[in-house]
Amino acid sequence: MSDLETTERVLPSNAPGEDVAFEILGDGDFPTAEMSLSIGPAHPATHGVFRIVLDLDGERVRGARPVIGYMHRGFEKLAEYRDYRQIAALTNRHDWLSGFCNELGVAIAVESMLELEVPDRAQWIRMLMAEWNRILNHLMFIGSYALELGAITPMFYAFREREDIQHLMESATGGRLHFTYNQPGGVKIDLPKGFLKRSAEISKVTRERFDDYVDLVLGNEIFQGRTVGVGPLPQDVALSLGITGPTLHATGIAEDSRVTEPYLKYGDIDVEVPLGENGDAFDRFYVLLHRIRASLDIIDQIHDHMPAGPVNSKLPKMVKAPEGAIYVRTENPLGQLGYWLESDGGRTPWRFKMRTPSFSNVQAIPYLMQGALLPDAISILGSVFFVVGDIDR
Amino acid sequence: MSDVLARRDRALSPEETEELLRDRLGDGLQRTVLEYGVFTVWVEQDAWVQAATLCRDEPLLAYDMFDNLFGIDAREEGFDVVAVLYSTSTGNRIALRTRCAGGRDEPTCPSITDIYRGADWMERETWDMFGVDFPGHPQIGPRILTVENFEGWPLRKDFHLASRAAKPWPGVKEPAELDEDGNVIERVPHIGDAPGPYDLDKAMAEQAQAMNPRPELDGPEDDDDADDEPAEVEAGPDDDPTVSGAEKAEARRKAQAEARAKKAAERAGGDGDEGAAQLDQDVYDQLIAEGKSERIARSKAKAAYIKAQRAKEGDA
Amino acid sequence: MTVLTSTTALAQAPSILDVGDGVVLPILLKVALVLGLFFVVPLVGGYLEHKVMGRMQNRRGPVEAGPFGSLQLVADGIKFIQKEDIIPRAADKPMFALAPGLALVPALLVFLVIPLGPGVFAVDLELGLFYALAITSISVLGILLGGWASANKFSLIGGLRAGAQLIAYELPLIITAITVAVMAGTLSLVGIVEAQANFTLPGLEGFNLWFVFPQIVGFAIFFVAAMAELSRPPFDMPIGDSELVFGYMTEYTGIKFAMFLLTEYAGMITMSALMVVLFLGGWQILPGVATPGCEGAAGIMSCDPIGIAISVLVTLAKIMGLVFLMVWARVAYPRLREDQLQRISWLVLVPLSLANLAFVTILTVVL
Repeated sequence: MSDLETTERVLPSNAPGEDVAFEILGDGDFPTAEMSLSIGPAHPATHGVFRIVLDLDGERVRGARPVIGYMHRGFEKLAEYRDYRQIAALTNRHDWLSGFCNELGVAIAVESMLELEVPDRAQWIRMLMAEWNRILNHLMFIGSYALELGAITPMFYAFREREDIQHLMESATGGRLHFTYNQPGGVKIDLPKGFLKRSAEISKVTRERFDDYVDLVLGNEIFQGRTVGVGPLPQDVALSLGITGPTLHATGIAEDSRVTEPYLKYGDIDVEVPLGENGDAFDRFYVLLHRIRASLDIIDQIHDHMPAGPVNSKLPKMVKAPEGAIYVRTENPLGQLGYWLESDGGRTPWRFKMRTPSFSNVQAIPYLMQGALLPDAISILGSVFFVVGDIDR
Repeated sequence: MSDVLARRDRALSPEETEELLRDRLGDGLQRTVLEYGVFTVWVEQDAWVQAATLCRDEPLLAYDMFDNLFGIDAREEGFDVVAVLYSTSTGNRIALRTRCAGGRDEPTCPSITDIYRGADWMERETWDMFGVDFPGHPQIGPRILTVENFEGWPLRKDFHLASRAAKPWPGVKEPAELDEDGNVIERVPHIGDAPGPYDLDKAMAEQAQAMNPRPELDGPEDDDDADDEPAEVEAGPDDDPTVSGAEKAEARRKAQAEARAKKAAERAGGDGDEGAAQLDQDVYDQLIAEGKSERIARSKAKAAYIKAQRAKEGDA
Repeated sequence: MTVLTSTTALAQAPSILDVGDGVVLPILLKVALVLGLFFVVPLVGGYLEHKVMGRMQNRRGPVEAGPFGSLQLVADGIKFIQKEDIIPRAADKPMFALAPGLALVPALLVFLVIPLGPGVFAVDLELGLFYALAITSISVLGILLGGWASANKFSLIGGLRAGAQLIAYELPLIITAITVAVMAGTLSLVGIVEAQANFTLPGLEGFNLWFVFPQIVGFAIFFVAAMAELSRPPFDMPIGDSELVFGYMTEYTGIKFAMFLLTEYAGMITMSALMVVLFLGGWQILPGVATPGCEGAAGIMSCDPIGIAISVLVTLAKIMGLVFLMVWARVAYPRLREDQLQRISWLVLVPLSLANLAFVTILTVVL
């Protein structure tokens, strides 16, 4: 970029309404060279082993190339060597922040193929757990995104809530991260005594504390200065890239599997989908934060609906899905999770394809970072909300 | 575009979609399958790009959201590529499926990255996992998920899962491995079982075996698990990988299961001479008759025997 | 060195450490005072930061080392000394080793002129304010040097940001300090404290005011600029741990890293002390209140030992109050962006401080 007689219009990194056309004047005697900066695979901003190579001109990002695969564990291959019940233990590990929602997809896929009747109570329990898991996941990202912008405090408050919710889920599932609570035909075991009461209490407390997050983070002037107008994503690009979840909702598209293709009992209750307008980092965070409130609303509705009855159905000794393929999409905390399960009639799947939300969402990063400043690149990286295991599988 | 499901009531049914696609693609459309709510359209390789373009641009279809793209091993016929598309306005989903040209040796499939941006990484992943080349893709390499110098195409069925080939399942039982009567086949792991795929692991395993000789003798016929399974791996790639696919794997598993059942029986018999004295035979027989597995029966019988012995000693 | 040798020529008020007729004893006492200040007060500030941050973040802060965890930073220091001192192979080794020292020594030298109480200072220079501001800006040279010598891109960006930040924020800082000097009519720090004790606004005669009241804008500018110059959050872009790993400190380990950290804490204390002296009345308890055991013009000079002790405690309490504010800002705010920071400086702070200076100067001349 030795040509300094250009007028640069610096777009995505500045707040809307601000006039940001810098006019760089000079005789071209001060040539600059691009510098490539490799962020990651071990870097505080990538929370995991994710690498992104930035071409920098000063602090301006000229190009970004994500490098993934550092955590590839070959789940799709491993799944071909495990039977349908064992896959749940694999799937709750690719996105380790939303283990329960991941298992759900497998269970639904196998049940649909086997035409298993799932008891009502099991379905409501699954929804309850899935929503708590969603809140767990979002709390984590609220903390970590604020941390990426330099605010250390929200992380600690987010973990206070997470701890309560994890205790709650642990009391029913026995796990804090990898729940393995689903099985084809229902859930492993019924809820412990007093679970719903405790759940209602935590829901109430979390709802009260929700305003703190809005004040502490969303209402913070510097936070707004760092995120408003940063990395806007147009709707058509988002759809063409297959972006889902909060990142898609931030662009104003209310595509949410819970609403558009209800699974479990989501059709029986009201599901609110918070929407953004500009698709920028602020909107993405806004949507993420308000999804917590929406999930709490769903949880309260589930408490009113929870029926009595059995929680699982008897499985044959050997679970063998009939020949054929099924594609199950569930709304994971980070976006839509799709499982393509193809069976040849054997004991193990013939092909088990995981369409993970993070993989698709991270594809947007080169587009979003183009022309951003280095601090904005970090702001964008955090605002796309990904889990490295979910990218690499 | 943002009106999600605004056109739900005017969404085309699978039959209408098929009609429309057949009208536009002609012979390019092979057949359609509707199973478990998934509408799959098989198209000819040549019509792949046209079909994807049609799905995006045809206002009646309006599949604006790119969902997924991946490969599937199609046994001797090569590989399939599936692209899943979704329409945010009608709520319909379609799976386009094509069989790659070039068989198993050089599978290729035209790229649809120009139509859907999201296909970029998905196609890279498919190339990485199956070796399916996508002419027209801006940059298919370097390998996206595996390491740069990785050899082989991991999700092909003839690519053996090294750990599963080199060592037996680390748990007590294989996934849902049952004999003909529906009983779970069990194995008792031994020290020295389960060497990893590396030479060092094998050397350590041998050393461990030398230091902890097994109770049963190593007769020439009496191959143990750890030895015969790697031998199968060696044999694996030599076989024609295309023919058998699942049947072969099935047959191999069956053979292994039989061998194990036989050995377990032998082991039980072998132990019988010296070990029978330590079992409460009545309890054992009773448990076996109840349909309990042999291992449980043995351990319970042993416990009963020891209890009886203690009681005897106590009396004395 | 001229500064040190000509102390008697420039000194305004005598230090209580100038005991006896000898030369050696006062010097030893002064060295002890400066080193004691340098090593103890930043540790107290650091402990305060740990504890306050902990309480604000729903946790307890350090509890294990010493009573209530008060020796945590000492334990950290011992740990740092034990750590391996790694110098990257590509680094410019002499520069790499020099940088932490270059950052640390100016932070130490500022303590020379900071008055904690009547007579409790090493030396009272006639140009004390000038000296303090000049010396503090040397620290950034060490940071730039460290960023460059590390041969690391993150360090380089961090160092450059620190340099850019210093240039941007040194200006409002100095202009505001000049404004205060104009009001006080002296550059001596002790003189400024004394001037504040006698300061009244026209029309409010007999009603003593500290400079912070007429100069609330100036105080705000100085506070923000001081935080930016110290790279304290929300202005910690040179460190920016989520983008630049640890900025110019990325490659530093062990004792050298500890020296950078000590520089930061010492900087917090010196900047707070300057603010106390310039705006908050120094060791005066409250505006118009005479310190017990003291005499002199405003009842804060020529004190007996009890009065001196009270004065020192008052100064330290004020310093810690300001440190608390800095910690609070760190807890509450995310990090600004470099261009936003520059914009705040050049478009808001510099014009504002210039207007402030012009206003005060005109008033001073007219009245």
